[in-house]
Amino acid sequence: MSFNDNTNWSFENDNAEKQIDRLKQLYFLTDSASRATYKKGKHIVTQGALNDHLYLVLSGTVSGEFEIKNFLDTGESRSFEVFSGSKGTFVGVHSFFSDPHFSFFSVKAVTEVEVAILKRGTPPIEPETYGSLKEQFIPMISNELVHRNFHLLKTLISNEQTLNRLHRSELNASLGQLAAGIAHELNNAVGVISRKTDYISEALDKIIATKSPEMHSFFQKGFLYNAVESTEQIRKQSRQLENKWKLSTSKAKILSRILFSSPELEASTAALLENFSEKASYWELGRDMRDISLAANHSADIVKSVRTLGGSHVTREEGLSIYETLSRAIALLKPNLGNINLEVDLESIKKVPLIYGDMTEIVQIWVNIIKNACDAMMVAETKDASILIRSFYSEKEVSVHITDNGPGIPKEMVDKIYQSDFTTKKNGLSFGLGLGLTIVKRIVESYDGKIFLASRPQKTTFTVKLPIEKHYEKY
Amino acid sequence: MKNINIICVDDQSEVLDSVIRDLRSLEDFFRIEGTESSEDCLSLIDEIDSRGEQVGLVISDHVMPGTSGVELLKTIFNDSRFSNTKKILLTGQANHADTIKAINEAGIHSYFEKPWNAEELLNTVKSLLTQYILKTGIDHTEYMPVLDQAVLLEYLRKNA
Repeated sequence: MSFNDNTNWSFENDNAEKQIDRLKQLYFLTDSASRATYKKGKHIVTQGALNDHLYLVLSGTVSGEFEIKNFLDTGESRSFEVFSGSKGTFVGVHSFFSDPHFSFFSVKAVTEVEVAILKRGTPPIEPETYGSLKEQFIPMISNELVHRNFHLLKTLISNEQTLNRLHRSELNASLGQLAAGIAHELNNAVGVISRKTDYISEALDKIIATKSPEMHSFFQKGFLYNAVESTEQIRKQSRQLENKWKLSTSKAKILSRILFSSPELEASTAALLENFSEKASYWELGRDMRDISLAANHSADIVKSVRTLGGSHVTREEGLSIYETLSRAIALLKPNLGNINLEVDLESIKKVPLIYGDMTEIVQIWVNIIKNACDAMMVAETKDASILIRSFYSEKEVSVHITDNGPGIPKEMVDKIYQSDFTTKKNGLSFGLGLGLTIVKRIVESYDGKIFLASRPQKTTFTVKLPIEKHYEKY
Repeated sequence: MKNINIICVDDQSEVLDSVIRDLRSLEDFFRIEGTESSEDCLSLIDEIDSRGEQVGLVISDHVMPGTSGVELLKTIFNDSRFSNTKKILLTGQANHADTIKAINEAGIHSYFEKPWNAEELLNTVKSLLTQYILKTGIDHTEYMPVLDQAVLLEYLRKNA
């Protein structure tokens, strides 16, 4: 629940209102009633002091404050607001009617305040109908009591909210630190795997080149293999090869892959099939090394991204490429994408000019926007969920468009999505990456950039515009 | 021979390759195929069926772009042509609800978590295929070298 002032705090009572009005008219708003003016900051009543007057505020604002000396053993005194009021508020209620007449707390003039004064000992008016002064004032006393209770209740709720928010941001911060710590540890391990894989690949390459030169090209073909054909194409072709050359399925598939990547060998397939078992083994060995190396680099990328996000120092530099920031963000998000199809228009993204910026900050922008889209689509169980990332640029700025085909953001929410306490997610532990769109907006604006949202069902687009390198104004 | 197909499904080609490689010792007896998506798998099983061959086993990853593995296995489970087909879910990312669904609605026979143990996977595959062969009444003697002996003996004992 979000606390705001739309809450209905009405507890007025017409009858009590009338009686209080009568009291004001009879005792305070007469020509003979005493009046006084208090300068801003002056005490009207003082905590612990005697008070013989009941005051009605005619203009200005007052604030009741309870002071604690030696607050939490700090040796310092702290004041807590008990109530606040303006025209129509009564001051000195407790001390005026209680016995002994000491003030429980101080009331001070927040602005210049004019008051009307009722002195103790003033005889009651129409006592035969309305009773003693105390009795006549009971509706006012209870009314003040209710007002002050509500004031305290509001303070309590807002404190609770602050605590919640603090707790959440602490949680996010500690998760970020935890992730960064793990990433740091993993970084060393992944670094070793990555480096040693390169060594082994190179060593194998040399050994094979000298010891079995006739197999070298197969190891290399395997190592450089980069599938362009689909598994279905391979399946169809390998089935034919299997029948034609009487091969096992797995060998036929390797042959098929070799022929796809080196079509010039097709004419000499018969020669290629001499001693093919061995050739296939070398090809597979090459491809295994390639897979390990790709996997190691991929792990290293993820680790790097997590470390970047955990880091807190920001260094904005020239020459930052939007492409690289998006790649990092995508590497980081990949495990969370589930069955969402991420379509990245690399052509358009590689074309945009460099910007002046900090890798961490820009990566955070993309991560938060993309993650948000993913979460929304997962919750809505969007069919054929997909996210499209494209980029454009003008003379002065680059813009990145992130579009999803999710449920869209309802109009009434659009204004709220950047608020730090706004979330539609029940458990906000999304990676501990921060406060989502609030952070995005803050970062974008700190670059003098802009963020736009256009949303309807099946098409929600966030557009982020950032100034290109030479148009960035350094502070 | 080689009328029984094993289909492996994983959107990551390196992972798909590893699964297929772990089963290579079975390739003289079964046709081992790989697809990189559920959609591709569904069209492949149609093709296999129209050739008059059988789908003995499907091993699928869960989280993939497009149709998920659990949905794929559910579709196969509800297709009468493949009522005997064995199903393995091989995944690192299925949550509790997915797993329950896989068991209740897709009738999976085994669940493996990534990274898997190659020998364990191979043994499970052999055992499930032995059950498949015995259930469908295919002449098991042709498959002797790769059958799960315990499952076979149990069957022979019961049917003696």
